[in-house]
Amino acid sequence: MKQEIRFILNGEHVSLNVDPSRTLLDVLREDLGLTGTKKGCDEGDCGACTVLIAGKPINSCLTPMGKINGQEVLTIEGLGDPEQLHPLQEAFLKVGAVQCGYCTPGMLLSAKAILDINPQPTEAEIRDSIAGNLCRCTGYTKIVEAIKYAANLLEGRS
Amino acid sequence: MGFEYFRPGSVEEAVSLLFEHGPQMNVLAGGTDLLVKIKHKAIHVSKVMDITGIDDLRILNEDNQDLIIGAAITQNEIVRHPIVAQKYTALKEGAGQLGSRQVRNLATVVGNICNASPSAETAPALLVYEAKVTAVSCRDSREIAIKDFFAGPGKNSLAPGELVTKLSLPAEPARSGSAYIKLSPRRAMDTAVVGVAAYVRLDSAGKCTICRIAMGAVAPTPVRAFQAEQAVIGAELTREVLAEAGRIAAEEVRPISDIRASADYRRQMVEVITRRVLETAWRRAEGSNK
Amino acid sequence: MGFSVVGQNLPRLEGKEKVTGQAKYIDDLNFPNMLHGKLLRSPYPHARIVAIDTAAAKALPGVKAIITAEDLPDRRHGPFVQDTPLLARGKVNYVGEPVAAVAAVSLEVAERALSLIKVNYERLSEVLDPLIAMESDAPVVHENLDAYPAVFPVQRHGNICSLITIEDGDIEQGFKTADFVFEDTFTTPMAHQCHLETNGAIAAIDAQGRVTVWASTQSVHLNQIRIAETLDMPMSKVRVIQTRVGGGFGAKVELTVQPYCVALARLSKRPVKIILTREEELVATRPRHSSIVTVKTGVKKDGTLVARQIKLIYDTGAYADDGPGIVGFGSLMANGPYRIPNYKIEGYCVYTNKVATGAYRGFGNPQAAWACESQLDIISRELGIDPLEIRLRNALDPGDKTVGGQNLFSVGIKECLKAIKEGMDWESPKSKNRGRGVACVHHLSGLLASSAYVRINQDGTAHVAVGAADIGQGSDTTMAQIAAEELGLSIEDVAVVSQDTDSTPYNWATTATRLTYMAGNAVRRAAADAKQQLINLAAEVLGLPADKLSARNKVVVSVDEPQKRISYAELGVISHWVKGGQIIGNNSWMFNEQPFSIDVKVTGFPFRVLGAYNYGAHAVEVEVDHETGLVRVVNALTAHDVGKAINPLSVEGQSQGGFTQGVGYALFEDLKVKDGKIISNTLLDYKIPTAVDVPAIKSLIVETNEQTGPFGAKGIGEAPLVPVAPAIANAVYDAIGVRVKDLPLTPERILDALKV
Repeated sequence: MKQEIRFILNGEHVSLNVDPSRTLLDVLREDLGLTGTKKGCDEGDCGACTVLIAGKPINSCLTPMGKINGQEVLTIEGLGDPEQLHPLQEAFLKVGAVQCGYCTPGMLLSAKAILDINPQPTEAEIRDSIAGNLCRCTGYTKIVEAIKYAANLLEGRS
Repeated sequence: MGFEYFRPGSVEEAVSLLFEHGPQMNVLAGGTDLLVKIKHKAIHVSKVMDITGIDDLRILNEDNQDLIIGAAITQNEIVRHPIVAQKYTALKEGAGQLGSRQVRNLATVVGNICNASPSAETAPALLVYEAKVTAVSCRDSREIAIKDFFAGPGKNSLAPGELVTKLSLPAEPARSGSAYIKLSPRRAMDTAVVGVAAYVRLDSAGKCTICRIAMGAVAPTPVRAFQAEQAVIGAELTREVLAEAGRIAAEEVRPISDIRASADYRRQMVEVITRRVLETAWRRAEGSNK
Repeated sequence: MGFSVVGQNLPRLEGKEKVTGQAKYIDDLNFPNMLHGKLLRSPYPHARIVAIDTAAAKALPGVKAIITAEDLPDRRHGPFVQDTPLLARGKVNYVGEPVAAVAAVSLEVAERALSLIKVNYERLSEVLDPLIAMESDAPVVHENLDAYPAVFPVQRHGNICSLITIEDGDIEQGFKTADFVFEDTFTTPMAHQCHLETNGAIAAIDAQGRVTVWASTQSVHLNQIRIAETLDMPMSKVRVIQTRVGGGFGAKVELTVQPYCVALARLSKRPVKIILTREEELVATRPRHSSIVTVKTGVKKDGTLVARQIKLIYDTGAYADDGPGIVGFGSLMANGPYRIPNYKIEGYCVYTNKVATGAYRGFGNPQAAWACESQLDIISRELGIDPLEIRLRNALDPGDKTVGGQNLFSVGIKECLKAIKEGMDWESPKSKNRGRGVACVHHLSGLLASSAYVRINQDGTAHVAVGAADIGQGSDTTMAQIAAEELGLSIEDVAVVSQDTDSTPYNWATTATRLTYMAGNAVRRAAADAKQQLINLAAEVLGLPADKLSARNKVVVSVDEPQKRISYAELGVISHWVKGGQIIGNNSWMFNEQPFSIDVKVTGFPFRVLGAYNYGAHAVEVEVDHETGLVRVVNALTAHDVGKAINPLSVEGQSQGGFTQGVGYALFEDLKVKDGKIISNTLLDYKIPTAVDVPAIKSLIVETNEQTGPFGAKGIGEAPLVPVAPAIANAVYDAIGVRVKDLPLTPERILDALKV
């Protein structure tokens, strides 16, 4: 039942021989050791498993590997690393938008997706863009502040 | 999840796979409904055919002024499409309120109606546009009126071996307007307690020449409110007409009580939401110069 | 007093690993040869187990261990009443109760094995309603109730798991002196913590038979004690290590899956991992108690509260768990932060055949506050007094005594009320269908024991070991700030030791808003001990009296001759290589004020010591759609007296997060039960707020310098959830003039109330 699936993961070409019915989430976590993408419900209701495919946020728990062939996937591991944080990561730390951290990877990717297409979103647009990412710790206020802060950081840099 | 995975490259290949494997073969587009059912063990699935790799199903354009929506077009592609935003507002509003943004990047409009949930967010809009569903099989191709497409909760009227390839929405003339309102306690990622779409076309004097109203989550399938529509056709926009349409619509529905709301509440909300959505559609028609 | 580290908005110590996806939560860990465990759960609310046949499951290839109650020590456990078997013994008491556990080479095999276990049940009549359960002819959940040991002087009979009473003054006389008496009954549903990371653990056994458990937990120490107790092991053979925790809110204090992992690992001799699914989490863990609370309040014309009688009935489900503690705590909190001279409070913790309920942020206070803060609004409207004003008139002052009679030192409730009055522009005009509401909270920071030690490394930096489990709220950073401040170090010079029963000293748990206050006190005192040892060593080396030396900025320096000085690094080297050995400061701490004064009549109360009170007030503005009943919170302001904010960013984060959980509790969170089974089994049907369900929340901090707290600090964790639901309901009343007394405030309930 296994098939060869080729795709670009965090900028690198990957070729895997996997069962195409398995979810991207499980393959990232179990086969590729990329555990930054989280499983909060495994049925598309929480957004913790959010990754970007071709720049768009999707639930990796609802995406079979068969759909990934030829795609470009970005996970939290590809956003930035501790020595070179992405401005969103920097902003989340500075503003205090991280508490337990479980929603954070998915939240950051949803935030990246909005800033990529809308560099200076309004408060309402930011809230709308992360409405698919549940957070039980922060009450969202500081997450929204962090995304605004990152938008300004990014604008200052470009 | 352990099913055999097929990814045909053409409609011909897809329908022959359906023919060959019969009812064992399940069609997967966005997968946001099917995979959840599989994970919940609500269904057991051995074979899945992913149709999103078929280029012919990725059409989203105006053809002879009809809007064509291919079966692989996602909800967010609909939301972002300029023609949809301009002319098919109710559809944009329905698609834009389905699930989360992440789900909308996966889920398709065609998948939403094939899944035939009574509360499907895009169904009321497609009903008021009188969309046509194109179903293709090995042998032939046919068009099904959207009002005949829904057969019951989770049931559509496709015959074995048939695949929906596209939806066609008739061209929208000037002086027409549409809207969709979804009522749910949570403001995102929620299932509609009631969802109503309305479509209004006006003559030059401002009288309604065509009115269509459709509702979700109030009957075993998404349904038209034909009697309420009759109360609007020929009328001018008044508070009384809107109220009357709401009242009649509330009488037409057959809601149930479930975990989300009671039947009584749903019925009351049909009245309120029908009135509101009709007014919005009407205002849009008045303001449109398409 | 000027601080250099305390009071700073420092980013999280562990922040970088969280924003880069490198943080390791329990399900991110795997071990060679590891098995996957699953639990078989009861399908019935009440049934006798006639027989369990595991033969077919055991025969399934890949199944490595199966346990039922027969394979475990015959004992029950529980933090207050020992009534809970690890696996159902003789009968099942709720839908979802674990009956058997399986470990297999994969999850799929484990699941198949579950389906092959045959359990023969004989249905018993169940009791699902606590009011019916309290009747004498109701089906009995626990026939041997009296045989269960309890850790406090429990009063119980029938299905009443515990009864707590607190009485002071003269209640009859109090009502006689009142100008008006109000009586109302309020209800709340079960609510789930909904931590985004589900519960999970891994257990492995070494060659000596020693067990190591990695767990998503709020207390490695409680886990260690409970595993040892339930599986008959000495604590010396049990080691528990905390992974990063994806939220807890009370759900991860007591055992969840840990003992099953251990039992299966012992049997299979392989590591065993169990991670709960979201559905298991929602239907079979320990949510907040549903409640029925009746409040009778006597009041003078000017709004002065003179008497109050409260009856709280909390449904604890099939097992006590924290129920007696929660009911006791709720009873203690029920009067709110007000002076009420005459009161009688009765708290009933009642068994039913539903899921066992437990600790969730607020610990009994949200239910009591829902009732009392709603009723105070009713009273204020009836008397024609502004709802914020009536609170100010009755609010406690420093030096007052609270329920039970404990002395209060820092009391900032009036400052909180004034802050929100000003911040919300309370008296400004409102648009149509909008309303404003206010509600207050008091809550304890404290309970039980905490300990810490601080060791000074050879280079003068420090390691802080404290059993304070950071579950996302930021306690590691707070502990480091407290230690750094006391030691005169910068935050970079302080490492906080990861939670591990082999290396972090005892702390009861991350619960009861207690870490900053309790663990913080232990850390500060341990740091002070270490600092004194640094000074004493410096005194010897420098040949100066210790009381003429001070320690800061990593240097011990002479007060009189500042050129005489020695760095911590030098002292570190001396202590490690020349004299005395490593400097280790330590402290163990408990709150020691008497909880009850002699004239207060108290029975069945489950705690011996309490703690310091923190205070808060919230103001909200809502918009109500009077045709659909939908409520939207458009403006939110919180003010909390935390004594001293060690890290203001964290205090704000707790305030905003707690507020948002309160919005869910107020508007839509409801763990619905049908025929004894929880039907809100997904995050679609158990709805928690999204980013578009709440406004930007403004959080104000009030500092009152609590004399018993570290650097004046108390705590914040739970309080911000407590007043939200009544504040919102009070605002709904202000907007459209209807009072809903049952949570959640569903659109349907609001419309029904409008019709009356």
